[in-house]
This record gives sequence, structure tokens and C-alpha cells, in this order.
Amino acid sequence: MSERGQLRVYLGAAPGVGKTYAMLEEGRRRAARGTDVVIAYVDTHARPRTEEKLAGLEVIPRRTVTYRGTQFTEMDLPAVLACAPKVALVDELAHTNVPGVEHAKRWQDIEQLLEAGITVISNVNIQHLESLNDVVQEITGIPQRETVPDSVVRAAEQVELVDMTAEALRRRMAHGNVYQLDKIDAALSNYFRPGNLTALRELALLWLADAVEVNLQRYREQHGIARKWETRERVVVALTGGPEGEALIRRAARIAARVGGGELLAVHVARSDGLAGSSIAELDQQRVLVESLGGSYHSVVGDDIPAAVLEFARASNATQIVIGASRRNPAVAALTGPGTGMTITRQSGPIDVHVISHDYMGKGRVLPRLSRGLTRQRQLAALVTAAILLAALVPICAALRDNISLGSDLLLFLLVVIIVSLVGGFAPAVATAIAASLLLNYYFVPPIHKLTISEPENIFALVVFVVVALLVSRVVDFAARRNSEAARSNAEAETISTLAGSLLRGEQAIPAMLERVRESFGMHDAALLHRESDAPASADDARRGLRGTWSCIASVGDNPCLRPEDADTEVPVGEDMVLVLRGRALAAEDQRVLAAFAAQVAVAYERGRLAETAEAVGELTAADRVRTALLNAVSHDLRTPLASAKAAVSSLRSREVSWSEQDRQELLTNADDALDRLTALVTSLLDLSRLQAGVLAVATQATAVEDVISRALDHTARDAKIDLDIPPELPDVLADPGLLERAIANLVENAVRYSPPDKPVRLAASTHRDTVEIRVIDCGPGIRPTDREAAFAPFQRRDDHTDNGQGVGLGLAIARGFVEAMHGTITLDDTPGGGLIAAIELPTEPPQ
Amino acid sequence: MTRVHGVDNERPLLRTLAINRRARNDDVTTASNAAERIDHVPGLPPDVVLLDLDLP
Repeated sequence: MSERGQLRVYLGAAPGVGKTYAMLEEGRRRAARGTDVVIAYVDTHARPRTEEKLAGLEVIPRRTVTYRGTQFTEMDLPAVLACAPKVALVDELAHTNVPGVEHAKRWQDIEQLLEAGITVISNVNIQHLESLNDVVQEITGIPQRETVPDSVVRAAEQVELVDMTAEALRRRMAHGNVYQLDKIDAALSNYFRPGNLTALRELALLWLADAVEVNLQRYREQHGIARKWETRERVVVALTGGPEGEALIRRAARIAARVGGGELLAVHVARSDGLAGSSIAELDQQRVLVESLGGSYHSVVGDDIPAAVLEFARASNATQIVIGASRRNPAVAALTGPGTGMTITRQSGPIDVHVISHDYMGKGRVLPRLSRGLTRQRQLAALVTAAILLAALVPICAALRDNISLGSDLLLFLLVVIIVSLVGGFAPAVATAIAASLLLNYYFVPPIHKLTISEPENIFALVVFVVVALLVSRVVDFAARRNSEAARSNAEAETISTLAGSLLRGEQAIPAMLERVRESFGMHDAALLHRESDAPASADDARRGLRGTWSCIASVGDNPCLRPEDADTEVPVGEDMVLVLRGRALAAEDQRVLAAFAAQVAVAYERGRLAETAEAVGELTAADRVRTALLNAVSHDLRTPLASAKAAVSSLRSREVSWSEQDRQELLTNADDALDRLTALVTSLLDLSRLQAGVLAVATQATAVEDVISRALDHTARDAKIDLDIPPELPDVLADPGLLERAIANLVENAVRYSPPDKPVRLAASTHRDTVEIRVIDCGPGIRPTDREAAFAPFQRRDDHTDNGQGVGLGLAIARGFVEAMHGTITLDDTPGGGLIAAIELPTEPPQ
Repeated sequence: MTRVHGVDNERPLLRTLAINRRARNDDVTTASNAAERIDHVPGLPPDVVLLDLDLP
């Protein structure tokens, strides 16, 4: 036995891309080089250009096989083997043989040819590959019975893709290169839809890229063919407003991207009395970065940063938190206890925490806490400090009395007062100064252990000590207060800037803004109320002391309060509105920020109202234009039949002339025809005005397409010939029978008008998965693709001169209006060979 | 007898006109567009031409 032959396979995405053609080309090329090439089996499907390629190649005649009384032709395997060519061309690798020949499948025949040392050139379509069978069926909705194991094609020495774009293939089909004319329409609207072809092509390319497993999985997921993601990763990145934020955001975005479809949320905690460590400019840049990476930026107000971050993360169902490594110097961190990062890590529970190192580690400000405001705890701490220091200082100074002078004692006690004022502010410092002066007097100013002073100089020194202590602590306290105010303003500014940013970036929808304020102030719910009247809604309400009737414009939260009386915090917005929040009582400083926000809400509300007005005006203007166009268009079309009818009737009533019976009949017919046309026109106008007024009542129900079509044809084309191609098993569609009838009637009327008399209009219907498509096909002049959208506008006629006022160009506009009102679509396409296809697509009745 | 020639693209109207004039013993010719009009007027010019000024 000679060496095994080689297999070359042309892979195509769909029928008609030119596989057989490519195969024959290759055969001819080899034959021209002097190789012995035979055609073992080729089905040209009677395509003329393919048949041309057969010329000059040796064809081995097929054998006829009789199966259950029917004759089939198959490849004559023994004859090909006997002929023993160098190369054999075999069409359709996936073909299933008629029972009674050597093998069940053609690929087995080919295997035998290869065994015999014959090189085989064959071809197969992607949908015949075993592994892709189910996917293809899901895409096209058509089961494939003939399949070939992937291993057969994979084992081929060469696999070449015969590629063609979906558009090019559809154009080839429309030209009749692939199917006979009578099958084209059905093929184009079924298997050969652009979406199908594109998906099949993608499949073929993927398969060939030898990446089926990985990429097809992705393909399925992208197209929702198989299961979805079980969980969605949400990555929260906590920002301090420091320069390291950018690195954190990018890192978090990568983490979110890696898990596929992850969501990125950035949160900044603005401390209400806070750390002056955040730069508004920096945060602003980081917000832009977050948004450009597809994430969302949030700002919350809170004193306890770890708690605020964790609360936010839990509220947004985060799965991961990204924080920066500590900015504090390790020595400082050791003294001041666990930092924000440590606390978050310790308390995060099921949420993963990533601590990211960055260039700014250990470079934090050393004593930020000193700038805090002066709370009661701090004052208490200051008093304790004073007590301890004084208690320590007295024995030490007493022990060293011989070595240090009273002046040094004074300075040491002054130091204590200053420390206390730094810790606890003015009041503790005053107390400390008084205590210190008494202690100094008692223990160190002669006479010792008495509260009397012997030398006037010492009295003077003690008085100066007290004055200096008070002045210094006054200054220190003042600085601390200023610092705290500045930090407070900073936090306010951050919050307001976030809110203003949201307004500027177009989040003018009031619920979005309310959500922001709810989030920023940590409230349960927020609502914007409008005062309807000053009087309470009912006597009952009045008894309960309510101040008026309110309506809710917008609200967020689970259980928003609908009356200002129920709210924990209320802020007036403009004259007649109030912003109400519930969740906690708001500190006075927060009220100020809230007031600023309320002003923003008022602006947003006003803007929304203006936009609504502008929209209404726009609609009115459009409606007005349509009405003017209507008047222009219909004035002639209405007048002409009216004139006809009037002339005919007036003539009949005339007494000067005596009419023959024939004349009388003709005049009556004229009047009748004219009135019919008038009726049709007025019906169309009424349809249109109902559509444009938006008062169309649509009652969808399961509707038999065939019945509707026959009713539509009843009163449209009385003498036109129309071919019907409605399959009997067509499922019912969800439609309003009346509207569908009018839509079809309009399309048919158009088609009849534009189709040449010798070519009948066709009306076809077919099912595609869960929709039914009804096509009205004419062989008229067609509409250029660029003009198709315009053709749907009212008062458009395909040509403005041939017709004598028989239509106002409302047909397509009404058909589209009705179909879309029934949640269907209507599209225009070319008829192969010239003309227009108007296709209505409607959902089928879902199975109960 | 008056020779009347009517030109209008609205055929029913034209027929009504023709019936009316014939009943009054006029000699009526009609045309529904300009080209037809020229064809239908051989030697004798009509006395009256009724022309739709708004012909398409």
C-alpha cells in the first residue's frame, strides 16, 4: 500500500460562500501542473459560475442507489479507488450516505481514499462540525442532522477558511448566485439573516484559530447562550485624597477587570471635623479617573474612617476593598495605635482587603490629630494631663530645690500650662494656670508651705506667670479652633464639590441627587416634598398639628417620610419645596452643607421643569409642522375626489338636461368612486392623527395571521392579483387584529400601486424562533437604502408625479405607527431582482 | 355646436364633464395629460379648452 494521502478541507461559515468553487479552483490549479485530478463527487447546485469550473476536469460518474423505492446518486467509491488518481475532489465532507453503500458517512469514504494514498480535497460548513452543532442550532434555530467529528477535520493536513462578510454573502444571494430566484427571499429572511451569518462567521474564525474551548465559552457568555456569572465582583477603593489615590484606583480597576465584569466603586470619607489631609484638586482628578475607568465615585461623611469605609462597602455589596498601605511613619504608627488600614482589615469580615503599597508610604503628616476640634473628652483629657504633670512636677522640683531657681520652676510650670492648652484648649489651661500658681506659691515661693509671699519681686513673678500662661493658652486655643474650622470647611467643600460635580455632570435627575445626599450624610432616606396647599388635607391631620398638604416629588430609601413633621431634618428648597431627611439628627454644621445642597436641588428641579417645558414645546412645534404639511398635502387630495363627486351629483340633479340611463349610471359610478377614495383618505388621516396624538388604543391578543391577511385583502386590492405564501402551521402572533389589518392593507396598497401590472405582489409569512415575519413583496422600482428611513415620514410618496392623487403618502407612516404600537418592527429591504420588501415582524403568542 | 376640449388628470371628473357637455350637444374631446391633448386635436382647433392648471 502506498503512502497515505493528504486531506485538505475548505471550511465555510455558511452555504454559498464559495467552498465548492475554491475546491474546484484548487483542483484545476493542480491539474494544470500536470497532477492527475479527478472529480469524485461535486454538487454544483446548478450554480452557473461553479459549473464553468468543472470544464476540463475528469468526472467519475456517480452511481445510483435505490433506497425504499427512491433513487439517489452517491459517490462511486469503488470506481474512484479503481481509477486511483493522485488527487480526488469530494464535495460535502459531512454528507450522510444513503444506506446500502460501503459506509454510513462520506468522511468514512474519504478516509478510505486517503488510506489508498489518494489526496482528497473536500469542504465542510461550520455548522456540520460536531462540537459546534448545538451552538449553531441556538444561533440559527435550525437543527443540523449531518455532522462530522471535529477530529476528522482537525486531522486534515490543511484547513483553509473560505471567508466572506455577511453583507457580501447576502448581496451574492440577492443576485441569485447561490439559490434559484424563487428561494431567495425565504433564504435571506431565515437562515441568512445578517446576525446569523455574522455569528456563524465568528464561530468559523474561532474554530480555525484553534481556540474553541476558551473562546467559544466566552462567546457563549457574551451572547447569553449559556449560564451567566454567578456573582458580580464589586471592588471598593478607599481614597484619602492623597497623591497615592491614582495608583490605588488603577490597581483596583485591574482587579475588577480581571474577574470579568467587575464593578469599581471609589469612596472618599469626608470627615466632618476632619483630617486636613485631603486635597480637593487631587480628589477631583481621581474622580475623573474613576469615571473614565468605568467606575463610580462616592463621597460619604463620617468621623470614623474605617467604619465609614466598611459601612459603605457592605451597603454596596462589595466583595473586595482596596486600600493604600499606611502613609504614617512606622514609629508614629507604633505610638498611636492601629491605623485605618489595620482597622479595616481586622473588621472587614467576608470582604477581601487588598493593601496596596505605593510611593507615598510613611510620608504622612506626623501630628494631624492636633488640629482636631475641642471636644469634651479632650478637655477632660487635658485636665487629667494637668493633674498628672503637676503631681509629677511638684516632687521633682522640690527635690531639686537647691539646684534650680524659682525662675526655672516658673518656666517648667508654664510648659505644663501650654501642653494642657494644646490638648484641651483654653478653659483647662486657665484652670491649670491657677492651680500651678497656687502650687508654686505654696511649695516654691518663700515662705514655703504657706500661701503668703514675703518678697514683692516674687509676687510680680507669679502674676507675670499667670498672665503669660493665660495669653499663651489663649493663642494656642485660638489656633486650634481656626484649624478645626478650616478642616471643617474643607470637608464641607469636598462634599459640596462632589454634589456640584454630580449636578454638572448631568445627574440632574433628582432621585440621583437625593441618593447622593442620603449617602453623603449617612441617612436612611431622603425625599423632596412639594407644598400643595397651606391647609392640612383633612380635619384629622389638622388635629394632629400638620402644617399643610405635601406631595412627594422624589424620594430615595426604603421608607421615605412624606411629611416634614416626620423628618429628622428638613431644609426649605425654594419657596414651595422642602428637603426632608430621616436617619439621624444632623449637627448644625452639617445643616449648612445641606442648605447648599438644597439650593442645588432647587436648581436641578427648575432645570428639569425647564427641560420638560422645552420638550413639550419641541413636540408641539413638530406636531405643528406635521399639521402644516398635512394641510398642504391633503388639500389637493381631498378637493379632487370631492370635486368629482360634487360635479357628478350636481349634474344628476340638473333639470336642464335629460340623462340617458347609461350617463346616469356613469355619473353615479363616478360619484361613488370619488366618495370611496375620500373615505379611504379620511380613514388614513384619522389613523394618523390617532397615532400622533398618542391615543391609539392597542389591545393585543393571539391573532391568526392568515385571517387578518384575508380581511386586509378583502377591502384593499379588489382587482389586483396577489400571490399568497402563508404556511398553514404559522403560529398566532400577539397583535391587535384591527391595527395589523390596517398596517397590512396599507403595505399591500402601496405594493400594488408600484408593482408593474404583469408582476403580481407577493404576500409571504414565516416563523423565526419567537417572532413571525409577514413580508409584502413587490417588483416595483424599490427604494434606495438611503431613502428608506425618510419613506416612513408622513406625506412621502415614492414619486410625486405618476399618481393622480390616489394616495397622500401616509401608508408607510401609518403601517409603521401601528406595528410599533404593537411592539413589532417594520423594515424595508430589496426584492432580489428589483423591488421592495416591506417586512412586519411581530412576537408570537408565548406558549402557556 | 361648440367644440370643447377638456384636459385634466382626474379621469372621473373628465368623464363627468364630457357627459355634461355632450348632453348639451357640444362636441367634446378629452385628454388626461398634455401629450394626449396634442394627439387628440387634429385639424380643427377647439372653441374652448378647459385646462387643469395644476396638471402633474
